[in-house]
Order: sequence, then structure tokens, then C-alpha cells
Amino acid sequence: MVNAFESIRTKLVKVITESPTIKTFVLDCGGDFEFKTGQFVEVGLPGVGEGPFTPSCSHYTKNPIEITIMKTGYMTEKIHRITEGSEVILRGPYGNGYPLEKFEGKHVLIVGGGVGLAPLRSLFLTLVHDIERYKGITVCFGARSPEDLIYKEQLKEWAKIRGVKLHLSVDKVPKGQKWSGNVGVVTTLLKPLEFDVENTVAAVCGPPIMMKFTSLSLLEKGIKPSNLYLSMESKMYCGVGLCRHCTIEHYFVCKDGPVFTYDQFENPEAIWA
Amino acid sequence: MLCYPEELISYLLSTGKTVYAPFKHSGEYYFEILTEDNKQELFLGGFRPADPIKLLLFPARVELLDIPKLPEIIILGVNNCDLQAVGFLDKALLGEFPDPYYAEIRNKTLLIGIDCKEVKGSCHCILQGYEPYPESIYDLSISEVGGMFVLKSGSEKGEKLLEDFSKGHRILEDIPDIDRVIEKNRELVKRELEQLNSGWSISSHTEERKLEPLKEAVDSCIECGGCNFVCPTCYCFMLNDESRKSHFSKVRSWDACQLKGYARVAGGGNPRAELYERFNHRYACKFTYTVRQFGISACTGCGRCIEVCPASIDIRATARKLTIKK
Repeated sequence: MVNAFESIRTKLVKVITESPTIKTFVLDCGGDFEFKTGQFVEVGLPGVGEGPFTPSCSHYTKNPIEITIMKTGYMTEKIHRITEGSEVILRGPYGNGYPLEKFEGKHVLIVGGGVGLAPLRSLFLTLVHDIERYKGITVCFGARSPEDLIYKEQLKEWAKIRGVKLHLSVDKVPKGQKWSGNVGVVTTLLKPLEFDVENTVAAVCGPPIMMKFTSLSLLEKGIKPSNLYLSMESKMYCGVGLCRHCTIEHYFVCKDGPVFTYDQFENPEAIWA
Repeated sequence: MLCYPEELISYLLSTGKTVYAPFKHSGEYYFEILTEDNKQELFLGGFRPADPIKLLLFPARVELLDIPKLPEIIILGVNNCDLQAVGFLDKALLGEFPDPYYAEIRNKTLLIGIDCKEVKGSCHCILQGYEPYPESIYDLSISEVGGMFVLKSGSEKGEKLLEDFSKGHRILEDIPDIDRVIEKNRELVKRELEQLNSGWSISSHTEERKLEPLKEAVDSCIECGGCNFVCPTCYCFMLNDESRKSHFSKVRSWDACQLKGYARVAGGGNPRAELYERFNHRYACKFTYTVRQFGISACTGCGRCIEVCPASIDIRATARKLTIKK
């Protein structure tokens, strides 16, 4: 029998500092690592712990893969301290990923906040790989401050891609930081946007409060609940629907998600309460 | 098939497998290892033991990476509430991604169920749609009639055991009307249970329930998690990486959804920070989520949660509040 808890050993080949609290780790898996954009992996350090993270690279990138991690607790602080050449354990991929076949022929609106940009970067890069399959891609990203916005250099390149529109916002601009764009929570970017709601799918990922208000804002604009894709966060130990920690309503986030459509939940507002 | 109880017990001991059976201490039953020395003290057919059967099949703490080859075990004298709990655990833990450790223990386990001759004040299997005698999941079942054991196999494993046992032991053909006697004995226990639970409404275990924050019921809860730990179907676990010198291990240990940190995510966010939310979640999980996930409710009516609760919270009262009146 396959042991669902077994990990593979990878080697850290590069660390990219994205913001004061966020780093991207480039991992050599020793061979092709197959995953679907939106799926997650359990990443950890031997004897320390592990946590669920979504690769932030395109799913066409099979090795090395990139994983963006925010420093939020014991394990992530330890992982932020490791150096190139260190061993990182990895298991997965788990979950469902984005159903890209349902995105075909549609306009894709991607809305992210904070470290929620990581799975959306994977989605974006995967979509861009076959951009002719989609009507266009609009990206709205937000961060707390200019210094907290990640993937800054790459975002500049994204904006140049034909068929892509990029909108950025920060909640506030502290003294000493430069910013010439929009200031306000990410939903302020959505208000002026005009799109064909019948033919638009939206993918949202970010802190719970951002997910909640972004969803409400998009529904108000007329996006169908079945076209509103949420990448959910929950406590996930096992990754395969055994430990029960990640249940939201009767779903296992790890197995039935982490990508859900808004209409799957009976009481979606309560899940972010 | 009829046999003499002492012959079956001697035979089970002779198989070389570890046999667990119920023994009574201070008014409660506990599964202990049966030996030649203590076999006179074993009591079969009492009410369900104080500890849930998951203690034997789903240990509270195990190292996961190397699944050891475990010895074969026999659990003798399992009440139906615990048999059905094993049925539930099988559905939950042997599905699409089987838990390798549980699978290993389960494959090596032979379950011998028994009709309940006694009931306890907290017993309420009938409210959950179950009977006080083995209905399914058992490999072998025992009904006691006139000091003899009536044996029935429920699986290939049980059939094999009966076949081996019948070689060299005194086996009697069923006497006329034996089924009627068994039925009568079962009816008596069932009536006792019905009387005991007459204050509670009887509902099917798959009946739809409404769920709402149970703010009143939660007032007295002290968040000890005892109800989770003694429940034979609660199987939530944590996975921790541990290290001792150069030895790293992944450890699986029980967790309890009533504890505050249970659902807390990185950064401190907690979708069920309030006690009533966790309390509500427990009932939603038992009566709604698991029915949708595995087609089966996660309460078998063993009543252990009622007895362990220092705040005297009775699942029957709470479940009644949730039941939709039709």
C-alpha cells in the first residue's frame, strides 16, 4: 500500500527575498514533479514540521519548482533561515487545482492579496503559456504597503504581455516608501472595472477578509457564483482527507479543494466569519 | 452452530494471537489481554467497555513513516455500538487514500461481536438506528443461550475460524427454536433500552438535522475535549514532525475539534475561535458532514461522551434540539 504520508527529499537551490516577510524557495526535486496549477504540496524540514503551500510557478515548470512562503509561525520562521543546499521535504501534490478547461474561451479575472499572490502567480503563468485559449487576463493584486508587494520585477513584465491587464494597489504608503499607483484595499480596483460578466471567470486568493469582500464585490458586479473560484486556506495536516482538520461544511479543503466555486458552499459568508 | 463457551475461549487462546476481552473493574468494563490465568474473570455480554474500541485499532500516538508488521489480534465480546464504530472508521480511513497504519491493524484484526445482556444509563444505540446486538461488521458473533454460545460467522475470516474450531471441538447442531429464544432475549434488552430512552425522540441516524449555533447548550462546556477522545468514531488526528538527535519521525496523534487550537491556521486566524462554533461543528460533523461524506452518521449511541462530560452535557438532548420535526 502507498503510504500517503511519505515525502520526497528536495534540495534548495535558490532563495529569492520577495518582501520583509515573504521568500520564494526554488527546489530541485531530482526529476520531474507533476502538479496541476492550484494544487498544493506539504513542504517541510525534517524533524521540524511541514505546512501546505501552493507552488508559485507554472505547472509546465516541472523542475526546479518554486514555492513562496510567508513567515507566520514556528516552521515558516525556520524555513526562512535555511540556506542554499539545504534539504527540504515535500509531499503531494494534493487537491483539485483550477479546472482550466472551464476557463477556455473566457476572460479570466485574477484577484489576489498578500501571499495569496503565490497560487495566482502559478495560475497566471500557466494561463499565459496558452494565452490564445482565453479572451484575456485581468490581474488585480493588492498588498499592505509597497514594500509588501511581491514579484515586483515580474509584474512589470506581465503588464507588457498582449492580452494582459494589470492593476495594483496598496492599502497604505508608509513614510519613506514610494508608490505612484492606486491606494486602497484591492476591492477599490474592482469598482471601475468593466467586463462581460457572462463570459468572465474570477479566481480569488488572499487573506479571509479580502476573499470575503472581493467575493461580495464580484457578485455585486454580476459574476455568476459558479464562475467565482476561491482558493481556500485551512489547517491541513494529512492532505488526503483523513485527519479532518480542514473541513469546511462537509468538504475536505485538501481533497475536495483547495479550489472551490462560491456556489459550492451552503453558507459561504459564514466560512470567513 | 452451538458450542461450549470455555472451549471457544481455550481455542482462541491456543491460536497464538493476542486476544482482547472485557473485564470488569469498579463497575466498568475494559478490554484487556486474555490469558490462561485470567480467563475465569472475563465477562461477555456486558454493556460497552469504558474505553472506545478505537484505542486498539487507532492508537492515540504512532510513528507513521515505517509501517511495522503488526501481530494478529482477536477482539472478543464487542458490542454493536463499537462494531458499527469500526464500520464507520473503515469508511473514513480506508477510502480513496487509506491510512496505512489503520489498514495494517484492521487487516490483522478479527472481531467477535456479542449480544448485549446489560445496558448502561447512557446507552442509546436505538436512537441512532442501531440494535443492541451484532448487525454487521463482525467476523463472528456470539449469542448466549442457556449457558451455550450460538456462533454465526459474518465474514470469510470468521468462517475460517469456525471451520478450524469445529475440528477437534464439541460442536452441537442448532436446537429447534433457538432463533426464537435469541430473538426473545434481544427483545428484552431492546425494551429496556427503549424505556431508558423514552424521554428522547427516536429518529433515524440518517435523518436530516438543522444546525444552528448551540449557544445555550455550550454554556457549561469546559472545553476538555473528553467527548472527542472517548468517542469510538472521532478519529481526527494531527501529524507532527519530531526529532531526537539524528532520528526524525512523523507522529500521528489524536486531536479534538472542541479544543481552541484545532482549526487555527498559520498567522493565528481561526475559523472557529468561539466555543459555540466548535460545539456546533462537532454536531454538524457527527450528524450531517459524515452522512454526506461517507453515507453514515458518526454517532453509534454508545453514550461514552455523556459519561465523560464533567458538565453533564447529554448528546441526546443536544441532538434533539437539532432534529427537524416532521
